[in-house]
Amino acid sequence: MRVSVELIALAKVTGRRHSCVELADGATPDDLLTVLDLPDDEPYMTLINGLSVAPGLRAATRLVDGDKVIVFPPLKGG
Amino acid sequence: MSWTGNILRVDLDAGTCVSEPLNSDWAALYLGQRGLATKYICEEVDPAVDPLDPANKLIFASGPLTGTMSATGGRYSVVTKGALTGAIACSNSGGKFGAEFKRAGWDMIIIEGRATSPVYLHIEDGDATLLPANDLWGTSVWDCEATIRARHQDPQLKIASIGRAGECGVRYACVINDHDRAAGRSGVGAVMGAKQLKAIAVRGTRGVQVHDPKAFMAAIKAARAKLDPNPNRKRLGDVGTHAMLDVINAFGGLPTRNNRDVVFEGVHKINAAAVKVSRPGDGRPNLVSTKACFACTIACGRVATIDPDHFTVAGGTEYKHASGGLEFESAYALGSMVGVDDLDAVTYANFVCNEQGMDTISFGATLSAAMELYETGVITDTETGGVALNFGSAEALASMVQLTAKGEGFGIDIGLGAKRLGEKYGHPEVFMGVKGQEFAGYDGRAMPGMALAYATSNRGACHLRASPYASDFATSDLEGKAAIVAATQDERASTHDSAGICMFTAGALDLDDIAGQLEAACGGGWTGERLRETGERIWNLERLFNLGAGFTAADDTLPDRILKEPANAGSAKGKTAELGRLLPEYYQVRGWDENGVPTAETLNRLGIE
Repeated sequence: MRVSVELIALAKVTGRRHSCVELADGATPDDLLTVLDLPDDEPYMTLINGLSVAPGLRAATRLVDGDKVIVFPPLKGG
Repeated sequence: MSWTGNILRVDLDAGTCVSEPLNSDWAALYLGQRGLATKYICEEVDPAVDPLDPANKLIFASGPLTGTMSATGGRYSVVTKGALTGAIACSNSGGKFGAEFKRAGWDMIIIEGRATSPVYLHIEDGDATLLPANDLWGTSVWDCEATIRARHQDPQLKIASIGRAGECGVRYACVINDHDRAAGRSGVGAVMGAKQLKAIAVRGTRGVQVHDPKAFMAAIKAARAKLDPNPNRKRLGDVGTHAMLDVINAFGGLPTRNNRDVVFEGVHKINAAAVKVSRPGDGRPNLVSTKACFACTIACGRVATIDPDHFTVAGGTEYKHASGGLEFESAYALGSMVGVDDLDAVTYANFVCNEQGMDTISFGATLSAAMELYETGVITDTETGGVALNFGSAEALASMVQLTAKGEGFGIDIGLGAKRLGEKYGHPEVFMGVKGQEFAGYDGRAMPGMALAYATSNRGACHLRASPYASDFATSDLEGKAAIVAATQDERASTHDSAGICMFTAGALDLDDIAGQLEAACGGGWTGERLRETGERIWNLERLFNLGAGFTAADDTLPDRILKEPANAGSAKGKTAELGRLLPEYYQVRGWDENGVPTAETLNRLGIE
């Protein structure tokens, strides 16, 4: 399956902002983060089709073909 | 120890500047900056006083780490009873001014009374003098700074001043220092204007002593070892706070068109990526460079230019120069909140707010309320002087920011703030805020913790008083959010508003890291737990001031739009803010009764008389 991924405030780290990612059927958001190979120095937040998926629930959440995933670091206001 | 032990008390009625010793017992309990200045306000100001009355006082306060080598140790706060809110006001700023007055030998400057004609305060280390400012009255912050430096032949003078907004009583006028750093919220600049104090100009050459220099160097080195590699520090330098715009928009919590919408379709035109794109006019991007405050190793500050061909630049040559650029809150308030996606117009409005000393958040949110009144026919071109106040109008934004800052035309009404504006025209429901202060760039329907933080903030709606971000982005489950809000309110009150360092060290430095620096700087047994308790003490003292000012639990609430109108998009689509469950839980966590009043047991535990 393919999911679209938008990275926010991570462009400098990864060198990309939008991408499509091929994943095995049944893959989870955690699997996606592994494929994205982001630095492991901070926890990332994920939105799937606009809804937040808490880090603790990612392993139990199944992505489906066509999902839109947004990944961003734990920004705080200022 | 890194308190200087000296307070400069300036009596504008008598025209005197007198040194007095710092109350060290209070410093041990309230630390510095926000906490310590609030203690002085509570002891010296009747909470029922009119904020613009001479009996109100205005305190410029540093923290123990201000002016030291501690990373980001350049912060100061302006504390008073707020002109916008009537509540305790504390506005925190960076730049170099705070460190300079601390290095001149002062922990705090207490301003009282009202001058009979405009004055400014000139400080050279221990010498402080009030000087006439008749010729400065009516000038912008930028011209005022240049004139004072030229007059004293000292380009190194650090200056905090008000612009025309503060002079003419814009309720959310701010104090600007170092050209474009703002003690922004709650109308502290309006209080300064009411006192006819145009500026404070200071040179400090004395440095700051610390309790244990060797231990202090070790403590700040240890803190730097944690802060320097922190990814959030690097990100703030790269994209500033501006990156939040995309996050909160994707989340469906970006206040848009007076919170009628929560997603802004034009966000990509004003976001952190847009400011780096070369524009057709001159081939340059909006963002020129970044800049840092005193002792800062983060450098989140933005420096920007406006397209020289843009219509706003015709308003004055001063707008052709590089100046303070967009940060998240300004991009929200001057962009999505008013529906404007013209990057140059948003940047222009930001420039003018800096130039004339006006809070970008409250200005943008008040203009947004006026736009709603205009689009619903409550006000017409008759009231606006012929300016079509439609959402999305860059022309209306550019016109109104000038009129408001100068107290002219319909800008006088915009200068009231959204609460007073709505009440004036019989529609208080257009006010999007709490306790008279407008929301920051987060919609409480999408962020339950932030909704509670807004409702309970002691200075009116504020995104800086608590840190529920990670919790809100992770889950909408209310479980534990009241405790998170209360705990982070306490942490921010002590560490980032009273110690003298920047809140952007949070995430890298914990309470123990900061306590270690404070202990080396001050001595006296500072620990992380003592810092937490100090924050709780500060929070409760502020609450008592507000209760004395007439606020009640009924003021710990949100507009009907947030409580009753479901969000129309995003992660909270179909939802409203659930304050009804969170607020009682919050009072319980705080040790307050059901009316939001701190119990005797709580006050005794915290040593508040």
